[in-house]
Amino acid sequence: MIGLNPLPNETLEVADGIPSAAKLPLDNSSSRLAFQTATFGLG
Amino acid sequence: MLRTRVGYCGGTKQGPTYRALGDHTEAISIDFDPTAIRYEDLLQQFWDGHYCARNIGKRQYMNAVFHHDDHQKHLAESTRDQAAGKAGISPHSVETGILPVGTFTYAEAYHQKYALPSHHEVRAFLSDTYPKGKELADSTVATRLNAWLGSGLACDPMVLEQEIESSGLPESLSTYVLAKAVR
Repeated sequence: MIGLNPLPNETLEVADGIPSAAKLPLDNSSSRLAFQTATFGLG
Repeated sequence: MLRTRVGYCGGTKQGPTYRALGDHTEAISIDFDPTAIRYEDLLQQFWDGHYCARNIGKRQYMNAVFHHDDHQKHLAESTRDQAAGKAGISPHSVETGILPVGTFTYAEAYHQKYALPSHHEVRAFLSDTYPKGKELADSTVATRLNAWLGSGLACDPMVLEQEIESSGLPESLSTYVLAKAVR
């Protein structure tokens, strides 16, 4: 859930390269596109 | 840009969290369509966006490229050398890290899509649609909304309207976002 505060006992997931959101039409279409991932630490 | 999320990577500690980060770094992970933007272009933005001859001493807040494969590593190193030239320093003096990403752990839900909690109806709709943190973090719609409502960057009006129309947002939220987004 989006929120301002931490959730109790939240388990953090690790990236698996599979987009998990597809319920909304734009998410559904974007989840089918080929993609690459870039990762940066921004100081 | 298809999706962005924040998390922890680059270290060795198992199961990092914000309160117990170990040797990991806070990072942003960007899924992008390589037919629309190149990795080199993202690297260019990255190098242009910080001063590469200095890095904060704390691993948590390090400037770094976390590469996903050898090709990305090669491009990071070649663009680092160009950035060093621009900064007037030797590539050996660059303090920005170039490291393997390793395991990327999603940050806690309250760190994701940072601009959205202040837009209550948007927040409620997305939380109802995607109650799991990873789903929300992986949502293109949430990524777009976070940018439109929170970045302060101007949006292309035509792109904005097309994407809102295709997003699946209820009409009332579409109207709200169109009114609030900077154009």
